[in-house]
Amino acid sequence: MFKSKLYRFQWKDLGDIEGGRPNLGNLVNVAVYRLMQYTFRDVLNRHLSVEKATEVLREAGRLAGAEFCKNVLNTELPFNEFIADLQEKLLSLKIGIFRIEKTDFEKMEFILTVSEDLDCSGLPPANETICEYDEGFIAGILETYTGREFDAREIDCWASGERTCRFKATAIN
Amino acid sequence: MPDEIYQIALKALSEQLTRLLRGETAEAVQIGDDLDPELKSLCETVNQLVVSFKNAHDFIQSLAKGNLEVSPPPNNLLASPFKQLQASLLHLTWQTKQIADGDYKQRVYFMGAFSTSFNSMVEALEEKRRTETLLKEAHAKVRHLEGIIPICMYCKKIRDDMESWQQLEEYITEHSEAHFSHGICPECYKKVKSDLEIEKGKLRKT
Repeated sequence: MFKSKLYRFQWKDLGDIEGGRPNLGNLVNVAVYRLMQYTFRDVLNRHLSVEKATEVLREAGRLAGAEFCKNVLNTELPFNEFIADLQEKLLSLKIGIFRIEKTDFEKMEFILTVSEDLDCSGLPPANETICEYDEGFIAGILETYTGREFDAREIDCWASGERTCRFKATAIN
Repeated sequence: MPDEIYQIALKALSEQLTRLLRGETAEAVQIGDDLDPELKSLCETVNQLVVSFKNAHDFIQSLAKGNLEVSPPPNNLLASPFKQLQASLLHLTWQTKQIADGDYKQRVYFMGAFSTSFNSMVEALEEKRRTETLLKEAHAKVRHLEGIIPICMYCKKIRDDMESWQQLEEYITEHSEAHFSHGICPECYKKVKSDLEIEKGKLRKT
């Protein structure tokens, strides 16, 4: 079923992790996660183009964010409680430390940061943004919760021990 | 390259670095075409440091004045810890607004003793709000039965706001959380029993 053009991701495809790994459990080293992500980037960059590879990673992040929102978060909560729930889930799953800096409901614009991020913390800041998967992930969560299309972009990053990324998410139209 | 040009360049570099160390505004060193490549490279690096230092300084100064909305200088490693501080302060500002609006789910993480104090304060505020709500509700219930209640001195019916007379039980049930269960007191029991005996006697006679 995975090797079909018709395949579409479903949450149940993650399998019975507890049952399937009775001895090794549900945790894996962060380096192993990054090994997969950055080798994907390497091969995608070579087989497609950097722009196309970036687009693919962002779109995958968007799908992951949408599925995460549907299956892990409580979308019935009002916005502030939803954000508190999101912050708590990202923390307990050790994905990153999520913080909102600014919300503008008229423009539907949000400024937020992610520290100790699973994807990039520990990498030195460079003159390029690398968190396209995160951009998509954030957009996917907000889209699923609000029902509106979102664009999320990394607007700044800095390192002081760990690396922190700042994102701006804006509703389109 | 003549020694004189070399000495002038080194002196200029030393002056600007000294100004930086004194916390003064440093200026870019003039780079002449006659400098050798190594010295030219050193001058360019010092000039980059001067610009980075100035940008970081301006950013930190704005933060120190309480201007949290200031844009941080991009790609400036000197400002990194202060960007972290700005992010934390902006997040705290946002959280404080949410709490002021009654959202007590907000918690601060990974800010040392401040997190503990802040979270305790939010929990205390939530408890205070809960108590206030309970008191308001209790007060609202009590208010229904406060004041002067007009009651018929004979049948004990109560006149309501609509000028109609209601049974005492009906009125109290509507205006409070109290309910009635009907029984009979010993005095009434005696009276009712006696009335019944009289009625029975009358029936026998007929």
